[in-house]
Amino acid sequence: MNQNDTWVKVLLAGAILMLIAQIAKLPILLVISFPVVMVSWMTLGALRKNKVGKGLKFSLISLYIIWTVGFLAMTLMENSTFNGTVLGFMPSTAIMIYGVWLLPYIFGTLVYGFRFDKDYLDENDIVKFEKQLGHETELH
Amino acid sequence: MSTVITIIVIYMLIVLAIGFWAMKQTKNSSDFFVAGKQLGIIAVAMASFSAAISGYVFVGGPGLEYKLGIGTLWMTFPTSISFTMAWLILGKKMRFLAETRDCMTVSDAIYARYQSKGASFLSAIASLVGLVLYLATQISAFAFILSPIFGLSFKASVLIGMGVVLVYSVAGGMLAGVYTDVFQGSLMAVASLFVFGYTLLHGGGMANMTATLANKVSPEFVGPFGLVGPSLAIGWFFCLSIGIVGQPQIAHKFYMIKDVKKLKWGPALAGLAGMLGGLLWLGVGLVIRYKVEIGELAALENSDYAISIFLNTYSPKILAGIIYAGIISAVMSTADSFINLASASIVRDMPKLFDKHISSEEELKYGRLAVVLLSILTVIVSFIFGTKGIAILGAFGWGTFAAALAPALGIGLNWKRGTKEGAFWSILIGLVLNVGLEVSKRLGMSFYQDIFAPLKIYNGTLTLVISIIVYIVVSYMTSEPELDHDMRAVMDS
Repeated sequence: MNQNDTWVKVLLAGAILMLIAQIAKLPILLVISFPVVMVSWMTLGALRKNKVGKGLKFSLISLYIIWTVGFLAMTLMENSTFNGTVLGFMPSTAIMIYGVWLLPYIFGTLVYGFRFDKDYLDENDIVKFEKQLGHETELH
Repeated sequence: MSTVITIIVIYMLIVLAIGFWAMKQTKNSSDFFVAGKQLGIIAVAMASFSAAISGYVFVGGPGLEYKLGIGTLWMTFPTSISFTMAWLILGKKMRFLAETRDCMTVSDAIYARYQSKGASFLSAIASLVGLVLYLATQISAFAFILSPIFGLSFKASVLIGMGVVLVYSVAGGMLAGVYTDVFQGSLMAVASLFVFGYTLLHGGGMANMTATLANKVSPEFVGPFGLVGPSLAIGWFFCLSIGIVGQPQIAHKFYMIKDVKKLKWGPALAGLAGMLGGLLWLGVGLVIRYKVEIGELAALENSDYAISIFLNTYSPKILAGIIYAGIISAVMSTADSFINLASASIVRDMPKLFDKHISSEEELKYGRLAVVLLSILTVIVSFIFGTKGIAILGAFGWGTFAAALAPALGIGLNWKRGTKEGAFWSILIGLVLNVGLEVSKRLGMSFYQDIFAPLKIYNGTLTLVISIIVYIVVSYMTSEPELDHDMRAVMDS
């Protein structure tokens, strides 16, 4: 079973839901569907030898949870009355700043860096690529 | 103001020296368009950061936040993850592709992947349209900074800004832009942190600004979606994050990396710089609106002057000088990158599609001529749209790239079943729909007001989603492509 095909189908389903959400003015459906599109697309890039490495899998699942829970919370919380601040912002805005803005850097960007050699690209990949290509490259 | 002008002059001399050095290094079209494919990761990361934000974040962002509240930050908050998306989805594939084909532009990648002149031609057109919009964003930002300092009109500032960028771009090509980005990008990221500190100081802390604005404007203004509502805010976040894979100014940077294993820490560097820039957006927009609401400042005649008013009124002159000079050089280097990409579309992509071969020296000569013609077009667009809101103009450019190019490039390089027909229709529909909707919106056309305006969505997101669906559905409806063996090797990597 080709994983790329599977994730493209997930991406398509997410995109269709996003289209419906925008046309039918359903913000909750938009909140639920857009992380599906983003994570499935990122998964396409993360697939290596038909699977996603452990570190990147953890990263992608974390991002999905952060975006879905974060945006659902912000959308469902009361934003039309002011009831004090949390860490300088309204509670829902604090989720935006400290959750949805900051956490993806830790769970997405930094994890990508730390797991790069194990999950994304190593010397063997370059050797395999050159072998398939039939000549040496300047990638080393 | 003399301190500010002195700092700007010194800063500009450094930037021009970098440009002059780059001119000496630029000997052929590969140097001019892709910096000789010899860059390290700091150069690529900082150039990507600068290409993604620059004048759009430092001038347009605070202005938009002043007007619409915290929800506008969804335009810049993708930076914490969007570079990772680009590196993960495109980085390895684009760099490997550069080893198999003579690729310098996104259209080259589209042609290599699909063997379709139609798709490649459309991607070149999409690149041109988006790049001119982006250039206009940069030059308009330049004008908003220049006009209060020197007391010039907006249009005069646009002409001066374009003239400076023109000289710089014709001389140095991509090398000048990239190395200036390293210098000014690093400085601007750090300076943004200081600016944010001063905004907190003058606003009496974030909690005080939040409470005051909640009471004097509305709680929604300081809520997570500002005055724009969740659908538009989420739309911005979506399109400005995953839409990065359709941005030629980011994608083609992967051709320039010398060592592919240096892709490792690029997103962390670019993302951190982008987040520091986001702090400037957050702080300046809020504090200026706060000062207006408590009666300390008069309401702004144009919200894009928020950054100038803050720097002139509330920050130390040295910091103001650094930020002004940083914005000006950011605009110069980013505009330089865009203008060289656009000229590459004209002198490389177009002739190739009509089976016309021109030598590297001719490419260099005609590339410089194309830069001049593009500058004239940019000035016209700046005059028409420049005063309507820089961040919105920037989002128009970004959305055009995303809708037209992201599926064909971002899905196409990771899915062998993607076909040239899918790419063709996805690019065509994405481009026409996004430009059509944005122009209709600006012209206030009745069909847009009746059908699309009530949806309160971001056109770039709607058209990107449609473009994704078209790409996948048309690919499934057409026969599976036979990939060249080198392309197969790239996609298997």
